Amino acid sequence: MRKLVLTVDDSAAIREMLAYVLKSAGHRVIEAEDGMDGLQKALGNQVDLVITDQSMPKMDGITLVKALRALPQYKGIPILLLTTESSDNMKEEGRSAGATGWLVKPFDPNKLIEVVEKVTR
Amino acid sequence: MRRQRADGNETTTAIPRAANDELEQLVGRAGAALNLQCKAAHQELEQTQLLLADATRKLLDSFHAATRALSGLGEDEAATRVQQSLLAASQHLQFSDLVGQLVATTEQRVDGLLLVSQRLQRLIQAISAQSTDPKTQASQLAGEKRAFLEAVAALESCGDSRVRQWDTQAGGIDLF
Repeated sequence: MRKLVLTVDDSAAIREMLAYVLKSAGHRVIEAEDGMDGLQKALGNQVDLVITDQSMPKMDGITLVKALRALPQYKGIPILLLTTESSDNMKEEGRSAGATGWLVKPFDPNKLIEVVEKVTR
Repeated sequence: MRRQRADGNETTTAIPRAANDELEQLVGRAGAALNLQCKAAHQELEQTQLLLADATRKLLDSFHAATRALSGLGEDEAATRVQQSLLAASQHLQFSDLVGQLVATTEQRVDGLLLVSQRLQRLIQAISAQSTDPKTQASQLAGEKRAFLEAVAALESCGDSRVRQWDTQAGGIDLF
C-alpha cells in the first residue's frame, strides 16, 4: 500500500537514494535537510513513516524522535534511524527515545523496502 | 657537563641555558613545519570535499537521467537488468556520505593540530621573551601555557569518527 514517507538527512546523496528506492516501491516521499526541517515537515503533513539520520546540524535524529513522540499524532508512527553509527550505546539511546528501528548506512535497497513494508503494515 | 667557578665551586647553569636555547630552536622549527603542513593538509582536504561534492552531484544527475530513460523502455528483460543495476548503484552511491563524514572528521583533527602548533609557537616565544617586568612575563607565560593546554585538550577530544565502514556493503538492521 502506498505510504507517505518523510526522509530526514543532511546528505543530498542519501536523501536522493532514499527517494529513488521508496518511489520505486510505490511510496510518496517528503525530504527534509535536518532535524528541525524534519519536525516542521512532520507537523505540516501526516506521514506514515519517518526515516531519519542521527548526526545532523540544527537538530539530531534522536532529538527529532523525542520531539515527534511528544506529539499525539506521532505516538504510533514508525520512526527509523538510518545512520553510519552502529554502537550499542547509541542504538540503546535511539530505542529509549522511541525509535522503531536502527539501520546502519549504507542501506540495501531491497532490505529497506522489506523493513518499510514490515513497520508500516 | 660541569664548570668550575672562580670560587672553586661547580656550576651547571651555563650548559642548561644553551641546551634550552637549542631546544627552543628545535621545537620552534618543528612547530613552524607542523604549522605549514597542517595548513596545506587543511587546504587539500577542502579540495577533496569540493571534488567529492562535484563528482557526487554529477553521478547523481547521471543516475537520475538513467532512471528517467529507463522508465520509457517498458518492462522487458533488459530493462529489468538495468533496474537491478540502478538499485545496486543506489547502495554504492551512498559512499559520498560516508567519505564526506570521514573527510570532515580528518579536517577537525588537522585543525586541532594546527591550533596546537600555533599555540606551541606562541608558548616558545613567551618562554624566550626578555622582559624587564618579571611579573608581567610570568603572567603572559601562564596565559600561553593555559591556551596551549586547552588546544591540546581540544585536539585529544576531536575527531570522534562515527564511520566504521571500510566498504559499501550494506549495514545491519535492528528493529526494536
